[in-house]
Amino acid sequence: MAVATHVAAHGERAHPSPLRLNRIGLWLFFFSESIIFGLLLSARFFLEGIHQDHVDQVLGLWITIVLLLSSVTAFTAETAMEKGRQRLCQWMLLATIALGLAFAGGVAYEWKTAHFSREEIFGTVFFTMTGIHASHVVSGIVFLVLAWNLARQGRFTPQSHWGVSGTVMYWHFVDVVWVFFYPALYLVDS
Amino acid sequence: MGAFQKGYVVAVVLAIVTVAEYFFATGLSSDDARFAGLAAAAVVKAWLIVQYFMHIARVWRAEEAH
Repeated sequence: MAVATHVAAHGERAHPSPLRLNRIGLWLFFFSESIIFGLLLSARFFLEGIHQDHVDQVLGLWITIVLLLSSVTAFTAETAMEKGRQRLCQWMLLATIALGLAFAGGVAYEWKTAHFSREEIFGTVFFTMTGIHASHVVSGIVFLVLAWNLARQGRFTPQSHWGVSGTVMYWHFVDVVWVFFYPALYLVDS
Repeated sequence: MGAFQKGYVVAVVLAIVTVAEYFFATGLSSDDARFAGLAAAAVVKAWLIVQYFMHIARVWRAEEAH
């Protein structure tokens, strides 16, 4: 009370809310992650001898569309929670998990059927970039399962659902990374 | 426009750009033009996701429920 009175009297700024701190912290985390992914991307363009016919173009397009669809379901889950539609949120989280698993399965299939090895320059770049990205997809799926379980227990409300929002933001970040990785690995030649 | 509808419009734009960049990349012979087009498409897609799905503007918003 005394602090609040002091703040009001002297016009000083109050401390940011825990929600705002959560958001700022998560964005700082995204920034630090972007440096890692940016370095991988620059390595891909620095190294020579990469041609797009080495990879399965159709599979690449399909898993990209699957990840894009998962962003739509994740967005719907968060918006549904904001609107108080708990059941829709839970179903959309489940759909996001399923699409995330489909994406991870597609990457695993690409690894299994790849015509190049990790000893080659392109193999080194491809397996490193897709491997680190896939590890983020898998951790995102774990977060989504945790968020879904908490949502199922009724732990979130339209007023308080940072668990869903933070998880969905992380999932969108994984999608943003793939927005740059997909053309770099599959579409850009040389 | 409602929150759901706005997100779906963005999703449709993202899907169109994704398919367009695939055909753009596989049908073009110039490496430089392909690189420039794909880079521009990636930046636009990333901005759409960060702006409309990740709600980056909320970071600067003073206080908000939830």
